Amino acid sequence: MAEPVELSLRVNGHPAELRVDPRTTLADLLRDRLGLTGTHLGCEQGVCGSCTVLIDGRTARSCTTLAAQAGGSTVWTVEGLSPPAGLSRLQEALSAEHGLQCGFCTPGFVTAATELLVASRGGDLDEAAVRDRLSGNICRCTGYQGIVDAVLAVLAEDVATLPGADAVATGPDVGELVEPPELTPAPVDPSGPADRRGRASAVAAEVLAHLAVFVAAALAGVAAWRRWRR
Amino acid sequence: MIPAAFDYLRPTTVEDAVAALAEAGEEAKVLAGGHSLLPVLRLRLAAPTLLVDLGGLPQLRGVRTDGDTLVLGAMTTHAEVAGAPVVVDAAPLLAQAAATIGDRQVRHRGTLGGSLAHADPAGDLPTAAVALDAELVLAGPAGRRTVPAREFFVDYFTTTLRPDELLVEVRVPALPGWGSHYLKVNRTAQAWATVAVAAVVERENGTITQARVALTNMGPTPVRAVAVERALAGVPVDAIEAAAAHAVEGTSPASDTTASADYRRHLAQVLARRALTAAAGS
Ligand SMILES: Cc1cc2nc3c(=O)[nH]c(=O)nc-3n(C[C@H](O)[C@H](O)[C@H](O)COP(=O)(O)OP(=O)(O)OC[C@H]3O[C@@H](n4cnc5c(N)ncnc54)[C@H](O)[C@@H]3O)c2cc1C
Ligand code: FES
Ligand code: FES
Repeated sequence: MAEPVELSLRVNGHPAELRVDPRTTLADLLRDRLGLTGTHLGCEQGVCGSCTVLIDGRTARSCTTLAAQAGGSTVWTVEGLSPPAGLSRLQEALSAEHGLQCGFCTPGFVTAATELLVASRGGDLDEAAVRDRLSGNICRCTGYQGIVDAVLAVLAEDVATLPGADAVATGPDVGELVEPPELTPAPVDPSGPADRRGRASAVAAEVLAHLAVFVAAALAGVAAWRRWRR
Repeated sequence: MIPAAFDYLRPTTVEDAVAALAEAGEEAKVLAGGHSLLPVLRLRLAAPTLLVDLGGLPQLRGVRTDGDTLVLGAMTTHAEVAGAPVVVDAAPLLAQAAATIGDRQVRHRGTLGGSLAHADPAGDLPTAAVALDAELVLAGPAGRRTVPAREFFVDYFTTTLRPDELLVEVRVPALPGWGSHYLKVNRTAQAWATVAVAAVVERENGTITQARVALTNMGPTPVRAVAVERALAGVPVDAIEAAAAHAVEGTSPASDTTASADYRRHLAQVLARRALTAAAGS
């Protein structure tokens, strides 16, 4: 067993101090350690967006982020983006516009749409822009139209009152990130110019094949499920 | 799936990060955004015993100019590369390519350095770096060395990075007066390129003086379309169509569930023509 990592972060406004196995993902930390099961896990491969949370005010996939990577950060989950009782305007609109059926993808969409709505405050996004900004989230039920309609319905309203609106980083995507990277003057590399030996990244070419098999299996699974439902 | 167990380090200096990698040897892996590495660990296609997280190195995150060169830290995220005014101004091609990556969630976490070190032939930033003749600064136990982007990519997912080296900076020379364009065809979800083309063009009075063209997903590494470049030296802008037909020379595209190699070759020519036309006009 690997050396545990000491973590300190803020989740939905509350401080959390934990010791975790380094391989714990942020999604597993939220769900299993903090009981915040609103964050859903669909693919666990960074593809479907159902695990979307806000890390330091910006949407991120919690299944492909280690809990340790979120150390020192502020995290908001769908629980923090909902009023203590009842529904937010966004959630009401999702319900009214038939923006959900099974609801599995909905927490991810609520989180992504909260960022979209708050970050574009005053902006005039059209339907294509809304679709583009939600393209990191997959829904297998609705065909998306109801989700997009719900977001468009709330777009014109005062989104500053949405729960969690303060948690969203506003302004441009880029912070003021102009700190020069550290530049220690370095001695000349004695081993000379770049060699062409080559270093494989974590994945070798075979991974491509593996991933193709994985995706094919997933697609086959969905197709089988559809046939079974019929 | 849950990854195999590993130890985790979050160093606060580049020197400490390099020392940790040198000590652990082949068993260690660098962690940047994790958006390529974690899926691989979850499928247990790799099982490093140590992850060295660069997230504690804010000195690697940011953008600045150094004379005529744009310098980007390896930990700068795709969203930052796409949106930083200094990048949009000095290297619009790089900003444009970064903006096409995945979706907002991916762009918020994935990094420039991670994309280059991962060396996925379908990656957008490796192609942009090759088209812009960027230089990559690598830090190792013996100090720093600089590798031209063209020599950095060796094979599928393979670069000249040594196990104890970090990619720390990307240096992009300014191209004042050049036009550029990145054009990609992809399926909507995830946005990985079926094929993409990066074009950079220098013009003078309706004549192209020089052009650089690089292709995404047309071989194991980003491919420089040398034949197209040669056909475009000192010719009028309307020679683009004929030159773009050479875009398939020297390529070796794969066939997969998204597209056949033949379709990729077709796309490379069409996208090269369109990207060059846009670059020459912009
Ligand atoms: C849903 C989804 C869609 C995507 N779509 C696209 C797309 O359309 N286009 C595209 O180009 N990419 C796409 N990506 C990949 C994305 O850009 C990744 O962020 C990127 O490939 C890796 O960057 P990272 O910072 O996450 O690196 P990590 O996953 O942390 O690392 C990747 C590899 O690089 C090594 N590494 C990382 N940083 C360094 C460094 N500084 N020095 C040395 N080695 C290092 C690691 O050890 C590892 O081997 C997508 C990813 C996902 C999950
Ligand atoms: S569960 Fe994280 S993207 Fe699917
Ligand atoms: S409502 Fe079922 S997946 Fe979206």
